[in-house]
Amino acid sequence: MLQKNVLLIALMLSFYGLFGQSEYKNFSQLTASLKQLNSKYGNLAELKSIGKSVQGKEIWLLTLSKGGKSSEKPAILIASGLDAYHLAGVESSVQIAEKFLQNASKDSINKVLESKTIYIVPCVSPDGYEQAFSKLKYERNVNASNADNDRDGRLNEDGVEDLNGDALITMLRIEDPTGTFKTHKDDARVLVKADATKGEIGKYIVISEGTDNDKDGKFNEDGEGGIVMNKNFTHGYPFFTDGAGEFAVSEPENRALLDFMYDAKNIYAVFQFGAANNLTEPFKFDRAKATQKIISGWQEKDATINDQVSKLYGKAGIKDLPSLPTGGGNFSNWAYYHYGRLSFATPVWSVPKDTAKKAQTDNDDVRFLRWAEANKILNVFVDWKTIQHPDFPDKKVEVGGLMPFVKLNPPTQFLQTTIQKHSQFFLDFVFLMPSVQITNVRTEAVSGGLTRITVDIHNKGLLPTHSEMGERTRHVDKLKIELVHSKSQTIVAGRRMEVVRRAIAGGEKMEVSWLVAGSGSVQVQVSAGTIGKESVNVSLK
Amino acid sequence: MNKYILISFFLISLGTFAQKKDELGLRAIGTPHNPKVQVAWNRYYAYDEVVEICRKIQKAYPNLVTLESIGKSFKGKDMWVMTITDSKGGKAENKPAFYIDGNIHSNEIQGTEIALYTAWYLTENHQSVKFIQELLQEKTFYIIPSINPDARDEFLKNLNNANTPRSGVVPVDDDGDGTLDEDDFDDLNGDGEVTLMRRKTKTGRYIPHPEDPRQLILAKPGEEGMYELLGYEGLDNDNDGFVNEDRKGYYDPNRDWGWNWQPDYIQSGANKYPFSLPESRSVMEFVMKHPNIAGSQHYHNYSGMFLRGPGAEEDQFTYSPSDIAVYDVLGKTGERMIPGYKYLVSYKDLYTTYGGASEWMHAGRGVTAFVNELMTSYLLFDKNPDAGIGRFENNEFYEFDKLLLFGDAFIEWKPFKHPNYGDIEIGGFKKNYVRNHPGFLLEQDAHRNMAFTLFHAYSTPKLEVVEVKSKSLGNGFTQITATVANTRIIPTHLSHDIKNKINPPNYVTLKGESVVAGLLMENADFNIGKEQKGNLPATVEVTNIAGMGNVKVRWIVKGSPKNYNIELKSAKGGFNTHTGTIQPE
Repeated sequence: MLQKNVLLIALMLSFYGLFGQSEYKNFSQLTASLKQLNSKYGNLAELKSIGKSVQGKEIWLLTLSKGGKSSEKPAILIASGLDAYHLAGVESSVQIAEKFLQNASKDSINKVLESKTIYIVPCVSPDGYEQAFSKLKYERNVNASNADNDRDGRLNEDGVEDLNGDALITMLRIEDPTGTFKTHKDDARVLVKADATKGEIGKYIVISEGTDNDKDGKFNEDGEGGIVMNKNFTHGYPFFTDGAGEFAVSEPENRALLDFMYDAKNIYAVFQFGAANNLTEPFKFDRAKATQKIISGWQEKDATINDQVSKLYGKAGIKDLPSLPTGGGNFSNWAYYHYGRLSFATPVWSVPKDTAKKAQTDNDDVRFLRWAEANKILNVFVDWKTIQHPDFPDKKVEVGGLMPFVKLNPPTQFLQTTIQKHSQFFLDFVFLMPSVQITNVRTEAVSGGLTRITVDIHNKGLLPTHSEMGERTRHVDKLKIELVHSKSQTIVAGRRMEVVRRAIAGGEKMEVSWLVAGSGSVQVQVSAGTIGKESVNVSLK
Repeated sequence: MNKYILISFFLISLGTFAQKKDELGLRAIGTPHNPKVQVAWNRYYAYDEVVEICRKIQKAYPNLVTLESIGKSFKGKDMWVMTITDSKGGKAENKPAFYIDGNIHSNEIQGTEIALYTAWYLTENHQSVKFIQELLQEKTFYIIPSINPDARDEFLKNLNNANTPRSGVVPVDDDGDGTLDEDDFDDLNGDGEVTLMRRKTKTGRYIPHPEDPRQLILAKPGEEGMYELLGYEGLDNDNDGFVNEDRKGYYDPNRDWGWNWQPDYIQSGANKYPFSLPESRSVMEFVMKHPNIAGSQHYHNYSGMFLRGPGAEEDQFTYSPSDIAVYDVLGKTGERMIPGYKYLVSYKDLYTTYGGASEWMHAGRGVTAFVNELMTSYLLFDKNPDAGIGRFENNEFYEFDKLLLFGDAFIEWKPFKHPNYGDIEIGGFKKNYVRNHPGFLLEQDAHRNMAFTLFHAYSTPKLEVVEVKSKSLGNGFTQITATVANTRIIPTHLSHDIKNKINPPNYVTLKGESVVAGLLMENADFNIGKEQKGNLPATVEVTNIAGMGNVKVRWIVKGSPKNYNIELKSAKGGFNTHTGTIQPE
């Protein structure tokens, strides 16, 4: 009895723990949440570590699936926390998992979990992520590897410093005749670059909060860590730039992710929550980029699908997300160009667009500040205050600016609507996924003991069996058509096993036939990682 | 006591020397006369034997050689590196180093023997050849005889032909049918070799060579053919209509490296991401831990080539004219050292590659790197094959086999009943012919290639303080100007390295003085220089010291020192201290 009560309280606590708070989870809270999901929904949710970060934190993989082998069902993968400061993405992916699990008994979701697998890797760069919950908070996008960011032969010699003692790293503005920044007309707290073409004159030098520890004239150019995950993948790898590391996929975090993904032949599409977006703004087909040797544009059919999926995204009510191009070395580009999967990215949430015309502004920070004020969100701005700065002894130096994290990561209650919509979107997406069936099975007796078997391999889904890009790489498992027969039967014409390298479009069918000598029955099988396995038994005439 | 032992040791060694001289005839120039480690250089060694040779060399020369494992292969074999240097000249890691590997492609085995020969030659000649003595004092050699030990043994011990396996042995589903490595060669006639299958047919386009019927050549247009070729010996093991289509492996270990890595559809043979194979990962970790590696040699076969990068046209920017000039000196000297070998540019003269080891060394780590493609048909009759006749059409290999190998390389065509092809004949060259040297040519080519590599190693930077001058500035201040020279042709930093700051700059430090300012001089005579602010003024950062070039560094110090103590710290130019007397200007 006592134990039951404790359990009940624990459940209630976990309930509030998961839904009641407006704050983000630090890594150990995140781990606890995932473990709770795993223990509460053990038959639906499996939690596994696919590797460890530089500092030994687990890279968690949450697998949602009901019955059967999850690795044999077509899957989607959601990854977040590659941009380590993007807490909203981490929170959203975990809450989307929760939503699926809570509503697993609903018909639509039950069907999804029975036929598909949803992989969630909520936090790919946990060491960087944890900076948001450390004593000193700053938007850190690097992991904990030792990296000489400015490549000067000295390690971590010039990091940020909290000069005003508020435990936050904001900005410094220094009044200087050579300054290139001025205050914004709509909000004097916000600084913008002076536009010389409009006759504007700068007043401030703007740098991040800190000192020039190594006296090289640069500020905070080589702090603690590390490698930027989204600069460390193989497509368009920005070699030797700040945060890119010594070569692509050099880090334990992204190696763990890639090793898992290369093994998971069932992953059909990849979604990233982070600072990238091709869901509200689909990639346009660009023939030159799509056909050059080092391909850097989506293939024609895939661009059409991107458009189709974007419309689906819009239909779920998600709009107004900013355009965020994927830079070189980004995970999402790897997932498309090198892993050959349909790959989508979204920041999940952003400050809503201006509604009233008179309130419009050309500046994101101003827009954010107005939104925060309207929604009574306090603590988003550190007002400029003068300090003494050792590197600028005779100048007016002020610390201030937007607090770290606030712009991309609203109090979590503001994420609820978008999380709900994203959950719906994923459900809708899964229903479009390819579903290959063997239909119109026909048998004809050709003559004594010789049977012609003809079948249609039909993709009943609305998306192709895999991306057009995936036709090129061996890492996308291809459709295999096999005629399984006994030793007493022989295939007189046709292949025992055929590997179909091109994708079968949504709604498309292909006809296959064999001439088989013998009696009894044979089995036609079709299978591919991204679609699962189907078979029919056929009696020989 | 110690002295006594030393003296008696000296006497004994004198005694043995005298005795040996009588017994062993005359030393052949260029070859160790009575090596402590006896190795036959006219055969190929399996992994265990390779390790044994490494151990013997290490045991015989413990003061010159250390042996350590840098990691394990896919199948758990240790990957051994021999570090060879004379520690009297300083610690291994403080000297410019030269890296040598072989056998990354599994069938290209003789790089291993050549790497072993180099280790053997350096150690056995250390006493007798002054050049080697100085080289081992100045430089460190890191030699990994095989960076692909699993597949070395796969080639040596299992069924293969001269071209297989290029891959390592990590299973890959080549034909995409969901099963791994299910359709390998089959030794149909049980002779332990995989040779060719041919079938007599009127529709065939091949005929026997008129001078050597063992060889098949294409019939001329209008001429009736006699045979068709059916590929290498094998069956359709998985009954899918293809023969030998999913063998052990298949990927290319030399497309798994960290510079301009491209996926399998652009670069066939690429694996998952840079260093996704255990062997290349171990080598990468070793190289990253040894930034003193200044030059590298990667032994492949076939064709007699010194290849420099880039591997791809778009990487031409990683080679500046001054870098190319250095490569040219090395490559053109190589052409003189090894007759029949040509100095070529990989992407231009051969084909495009992405993610190669030597390209990673050059563009990823700032190391001058060469790939030597060992063995060439030139070596058969010491002449270039007839112009216009390709490697597979000319019959020189058949003639060479007949005249010099007495038919040892060829398995005569013999009939066989194939389950799918019916009556066929099986025959052809053994796997160890054409690409790998015949025994008697191996030692010579090993020596010549080693000599090229030692020339490359010798050319890595050597930094010296050639002149230190002082001038009083009054008020108790003195300016000290040091000239630091690189007396070899390879710069401390290749231009791609300078642009991308792959390696830290050179540090020139004046020790033991009260330094108030440090300057890197552009023109010392006219006092034009750049003050180095920020860091301690005693240490001046020097971006590069060109091959055969020098820089001048100046310090303003308190007092008027008479002697100098200057520390040079250069990733690829070594770490050491120079002392001497300061000359007045």
